[in-house]
Amino acid sequence: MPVLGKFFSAPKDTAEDIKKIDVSVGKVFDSARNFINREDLALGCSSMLEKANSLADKEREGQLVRAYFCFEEFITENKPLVVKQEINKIDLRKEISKKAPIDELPLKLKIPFLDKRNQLLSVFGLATNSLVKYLKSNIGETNFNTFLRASVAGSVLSGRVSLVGDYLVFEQISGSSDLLINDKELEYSLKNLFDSLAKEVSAGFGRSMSEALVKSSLDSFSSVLPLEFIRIFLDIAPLDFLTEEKASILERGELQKKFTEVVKEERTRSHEAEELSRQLQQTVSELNANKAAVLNLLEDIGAEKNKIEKEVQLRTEELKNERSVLRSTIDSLPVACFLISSELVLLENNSLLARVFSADKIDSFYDMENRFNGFFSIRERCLAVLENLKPQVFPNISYGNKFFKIYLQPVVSVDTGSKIGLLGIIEDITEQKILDRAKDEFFSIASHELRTPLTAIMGNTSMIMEFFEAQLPNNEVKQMVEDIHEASTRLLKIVGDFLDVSRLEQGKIIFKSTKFDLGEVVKELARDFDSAATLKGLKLEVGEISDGVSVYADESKVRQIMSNLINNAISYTQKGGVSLYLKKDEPGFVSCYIKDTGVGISKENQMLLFRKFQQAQEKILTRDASRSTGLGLYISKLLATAMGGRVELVESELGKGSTFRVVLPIKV
Amino acid sequence: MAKILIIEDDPLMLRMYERVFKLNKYEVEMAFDGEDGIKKLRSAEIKPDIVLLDIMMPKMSGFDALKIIKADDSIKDIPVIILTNLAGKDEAEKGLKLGAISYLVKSEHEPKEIISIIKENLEKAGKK
Repeated sequence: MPVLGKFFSAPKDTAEDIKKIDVSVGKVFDSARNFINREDLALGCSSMLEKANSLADKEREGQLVRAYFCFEEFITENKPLVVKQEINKIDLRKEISKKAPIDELPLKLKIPFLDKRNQLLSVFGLATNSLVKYLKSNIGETNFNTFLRASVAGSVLSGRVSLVGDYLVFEQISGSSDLLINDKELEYSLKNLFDSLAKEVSAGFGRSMSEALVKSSLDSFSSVLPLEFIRIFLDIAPLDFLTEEKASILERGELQKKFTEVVKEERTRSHEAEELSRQLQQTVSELNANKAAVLNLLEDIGAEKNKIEKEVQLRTEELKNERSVLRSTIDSLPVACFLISSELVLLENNSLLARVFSADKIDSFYDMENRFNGFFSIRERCLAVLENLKPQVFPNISYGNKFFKIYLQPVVSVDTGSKIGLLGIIEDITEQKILDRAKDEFFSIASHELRTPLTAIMGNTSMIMEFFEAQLPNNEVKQMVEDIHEASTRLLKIVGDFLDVSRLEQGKIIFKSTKFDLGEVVKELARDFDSAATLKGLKLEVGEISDGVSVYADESKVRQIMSNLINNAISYTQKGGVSLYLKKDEPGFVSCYIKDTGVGISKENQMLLFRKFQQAQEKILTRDASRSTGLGLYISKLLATAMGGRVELVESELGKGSTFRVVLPIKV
Repeated sequence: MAKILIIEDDPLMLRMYERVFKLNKYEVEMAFDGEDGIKKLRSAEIKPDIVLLDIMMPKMSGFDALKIIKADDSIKDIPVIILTNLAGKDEAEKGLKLGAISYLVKSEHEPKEIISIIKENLEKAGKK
């Protein structure tokens, strides 16, 4: 079943030959399948084919022919979407003629599939059809044949023209190749023959009849066949006939041509437009995709922005808090404080800053600089600190009747170490200075005024015992005098210790450090304390001491320290003994060890050693038997530290004894 | 017997040291402040072999007195020992610098120690 069968489903009562044509035409259409989408195969001519189906046989044939040309145009005019493969009319016709049974087609429909010569002959047959039919019926077939033979003989036709039905058919005489005529000659001959026919009808039946017949042929021809074939018709039609038709048809042809061009152009434009539209669509979809991507990106950016904004907000809040903390810290400081940038711009300051200058407020660094003018060159000092990034302390700056202690501290970033600014602290030490002076005076007077009467008590009791012992009434009185003497001695020692501490703390003790042999000092001290140890039944030993163990210190102060430690060791030891030895157990230093087998010091009390007024007693309110002031170790520590050394407890255990050591530097 | 001039404002101290030296067979002269001391030093009758000079005294301090003594050719060769209760290192240095041959802190020495120090210094100066 041909694909387009539905368009050719002729009624059942249709004659057999019509069915045959239908099938042939169906095959024509079907053979164009390669060039057109199956579904849309007959889109352009379906209405015509449908119409053909409903028409009577003769008209039906014409309609089928028109449908074909319409279809042909539809394919070759290259309508988008429908056509699979572009093809021109000539190639399409060749393609169809290869596959479809051309011989079975009706004459008019056969024309496009024929070669040029046969097309000419077929057109000639159709063009002369009306004249032939009229003559034949009016002069009889025999007369017509006679006339025909005479006409052909008078033409250049080298062939035979015979009558098949109402059509003239030309046959070339085969075998006589020298008599073969070319297309032009054939056309000329056929034109002459056509002319003869027309003249014959004109002569017998009047020119108007002849003309009318030719016109009717043309009408039936042109109503079905396209212009390219109509031209052939007109080319061979009698010269003085159809001049008007010729002109109008040619004009129509021109118009058609123009129209076709316009349509083509329009199509091209439409193609371009469609291409543009397609590109535009693609661009739009790309844009849409891009837009979606951009929107996503924007959304991401938005989210990120929100996140950053939140972070910034949080950080700002933190900074505000930090600033508040800084602000209140600065405000709560008991000293004047200011913060300046690296460019010496005053960033922060507290109210005490204004107070140290006896001002209402300090506005700027310049203001501060002005107030310091002549007392302290704050600009140079700050710039130096910012340059070296090292803190500076100016302990005693006189400012009118006031005294300041000034600290300049560079401020650097914790993370990067980069310079941020400078923190300045101004401590008004005027009161402290007055107090210090008062304290000095107090100590000076106190020591003098306390010592003088005590010295009198000590001296007089001493003389009573030395010169007037015999005059004392009894032993009890003698004992009382001895006690008074001892009490005064002890009191003098306490006063002496107090004074030492005071002077040491104020840095008023002058040290005269020299290089001396520590071994010798230890040996001498051992001899000095030997009697005291022996009195308590203790052994005072000196360990092996190599020669030339010298240290750099104030010898008298070293003796003071050592005496204190040896005295303590003897005081707190009841049996066993005390040993002294030297060790070079630390690079650059010499250690003198004082080891005893005494009462020892508990862990808790070890913490209290070397503090002011602390004795290593087990109960705070129970004074120990040594009757010391509790300042000895404290003074020893201050002395040793001032000389670049130290005094420390090495080890101690309750009931087993203690080991102290004095560490002194070898060099300056 | 050597003669000692004690320049001391505190009668407690003065009496004690007078007793100390007299008990140890020294001849003792006493002055009650710097001015008095210088006056006695310059008088032809007293002529002490050694002077014990306190520092904190009314009218004229021991240091000022010492300056005058050392500036006076007639008395500058008499050895002066400062005997005070000012135990500061600064004061001691100052005293020695001004020309005292020794600086003694009263409370740090028992009377007999003072005696032996004086004896020692007198021997150094060629006097008994």
